[in-house]
Amino acid sequence: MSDRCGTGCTLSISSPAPAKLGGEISPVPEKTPSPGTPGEVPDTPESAPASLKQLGEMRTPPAPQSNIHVMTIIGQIEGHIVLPPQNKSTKYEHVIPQLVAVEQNPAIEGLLVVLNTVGGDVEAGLAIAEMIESMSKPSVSLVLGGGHSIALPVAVSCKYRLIASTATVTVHPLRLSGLVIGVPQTYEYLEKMQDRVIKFVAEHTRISPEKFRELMFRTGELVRDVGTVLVGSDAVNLGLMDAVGGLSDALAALNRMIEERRAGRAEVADREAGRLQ
Amino acid sequence: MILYTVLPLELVLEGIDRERTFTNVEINGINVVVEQVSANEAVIVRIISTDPQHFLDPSLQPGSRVRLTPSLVAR
Repeated sequence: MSDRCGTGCTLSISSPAPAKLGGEISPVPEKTPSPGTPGEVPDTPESAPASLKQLGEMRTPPAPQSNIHVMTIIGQIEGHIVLPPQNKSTKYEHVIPQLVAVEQNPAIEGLLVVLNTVGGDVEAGLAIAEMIESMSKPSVSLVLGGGHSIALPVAVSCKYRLIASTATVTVHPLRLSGLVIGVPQTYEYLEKMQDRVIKFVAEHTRISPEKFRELMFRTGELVRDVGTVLVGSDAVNLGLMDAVGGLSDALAALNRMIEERRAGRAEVADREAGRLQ
Repeated sequence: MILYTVLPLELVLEGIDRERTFTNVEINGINVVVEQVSANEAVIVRIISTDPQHFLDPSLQPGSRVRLTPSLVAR
C-alpha cells in the first residue's frame, strides 16, 4: 500500500475508503425531493453548482460606494500604436471614455489622478490632459515616484496638484532622433509639438513659457542630455505643482473641493427657488 | 506618433514587429477586443462601446484576464 504513495503516508491506505463512502453519504440522495417535505430544493442539474458555490467561498463585506474615482496613470501613456507587451501602459482609448463616465455619473463627485509614469505618446497624453482640464467635477493629481515627460501636462491639468516630497518630474525636450514614427520628421513639426506641451503647462501653472523652455534645455543636470530633474519641493517652488503632500492631503483637498461644489450648487438651487417664488 | 518619454526608445519599442492577433468577443453583451494568451485564456485589450459606464467596469479593464469557453452553435 505504502509503495503506491511513495512517501509512506496514510493517504494510500485510506484512498479506497472515500470512494466507497462517497456512495453512501453523498449529498445527492439527501437532496432528492421527498413528497413529505414541501419547499425542498428540487434536484435539478442547476442546483448542484449553486449549492457548491455556497460551500467554501469567503467574501469580504461589500465596500460602500465611493464618491470619488481614482485613475492611476502608470507606465507608458499608450497612443495610436499598441506597445509591445513588456511595457506597462495606460491606454488612452480607455481613459478617455472613463473620464466621460466620471463627468456624467452622478454618483462620482471627484477625480483623483495618481501618476507614476515615464511619459509616452504626446498626443495621447495631451488628450487626457485636455479631457481632465475641461471637466466640471473637482480633480486632484498626486505625483508619486516619478511623473516624467508627458506626465507633467496630465498632472497640471487637475485643479489641485500635489507631489510627494521625494517624487521627481523630469522636464526635457522632445527628441528628433528616432522618436518620430510615420510623420514628416521636420524640425518645425517637432518644435510645434513641443510648443503645445509648453503652452499647456504654462497656461495651467504659474510658470512662464520662457522659464519652462529654459528648464527643458538646461545643461549639466542630466547625464549626456539636456533637461531638468525636479524633486518634490522644486516643482512647487517653480509653480508647476501646488503643494508637497501625500495621499491624505490629496483626499482632504478633494473632499474640500467636493464640499465647496455641493455648497455652490445648493446656493444656486436656493437662488433659483427664490426667483421662482 | 511622437513618444515623449524618459525611457530609451529601443526599450519601449522592443518587439513591436512581433505579430499579435486580436479577436473580437462579446462579454456580458459588451463588445471587447481580446488577445488570446493560451488555449482557454485571453487578455482584454480594449472595450468597444458607446456607453461610458462600461469603461468603469473593473472586470473589463484592459489587461484583465478572461476565460474562454468553447461554445457550439448549430449552423
